[in-house]
Amino acid sequence: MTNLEMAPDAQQNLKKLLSSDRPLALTADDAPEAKIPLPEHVKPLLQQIFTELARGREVTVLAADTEMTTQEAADYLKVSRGYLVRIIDRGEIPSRMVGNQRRLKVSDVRLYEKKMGKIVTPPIKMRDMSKDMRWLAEHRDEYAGKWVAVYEDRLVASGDNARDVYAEVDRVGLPQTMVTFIEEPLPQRKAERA
Amino acid sequence: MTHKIVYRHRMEYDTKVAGVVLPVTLLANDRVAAVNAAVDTGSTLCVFQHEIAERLGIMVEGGVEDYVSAMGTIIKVYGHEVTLVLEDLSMDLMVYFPAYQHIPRNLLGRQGFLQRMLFGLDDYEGVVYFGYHGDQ
Repeated sequence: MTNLEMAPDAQQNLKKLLSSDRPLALTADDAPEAKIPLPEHVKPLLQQIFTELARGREVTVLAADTEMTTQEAADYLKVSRGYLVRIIDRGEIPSRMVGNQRRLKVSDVRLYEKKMGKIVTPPIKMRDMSKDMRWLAEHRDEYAGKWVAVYEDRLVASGDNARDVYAEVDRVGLPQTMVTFIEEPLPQRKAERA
Repeated sequence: MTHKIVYRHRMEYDTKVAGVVLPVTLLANDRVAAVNAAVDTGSTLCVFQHEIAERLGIMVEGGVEDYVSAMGTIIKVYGHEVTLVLEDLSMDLMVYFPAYQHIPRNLLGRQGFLQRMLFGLDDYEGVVYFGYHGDQ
């Protein structure tokens, strides 16, 4: 399926309808009395199809247990076939042999796609945490075995469990306060530092 | 033969601790957790402490089941989609949380993270260089 010949306004309305909680039904122009209710779980699928078509992309609907060749899977994941084969060899995507060719289930490839993730625009600006890291380096021994919350060069809270430390972080309210557990040093490291 | 790679970022790390530990920020459910995580080329998955999942409002055991092996022990973990930010690099990916608390550290593994990155390590100076794969 390719192309979506629809006015932008109509596309917007369709998107709103499909993302709303309202129950939807299909009707034909020449038989408006015959309404076919649209199952709720189909709405996200339709929304995805229309979104991709509106972007001018080709859409193919495949059943989850359909199988793909390695080339089809590589094209789908936008990686080279060689890279995909290495992933399969590492056991990260299950496959089965058909003659001398591997076959992969669509559902397994889609799960791997989720695991692989995608690069996105950062939703927040991460603050510079170099002072926090320096504070941790300087106070590591003092707080070994504890959870600490640090903001720049300041200790916000420390404790034996994360929950109490996060509670104090929320009370203080400094955004992106770093909370971390400080591991106990290994015994020989402890001796070296003493 | 020489090879030249250009990295977008440079970051110093604390050489007194085991591993290359970097500050990262995780986001999920409109919540933010700024944490430390060790780059681990030997780990397939990115694994974070159970407490971080709680902070992000994630119900750990509702995720995709998988297993990690640490020092001969098999640990059950659950995958959840989060956004991970490191400096101005950001990716939506699946990270894993153990069912129980008290895992001592967070790990940045290959799947979803290292496979998207180029990493240069200067352990003598305690510096990592990094950027997206294909960034040059």
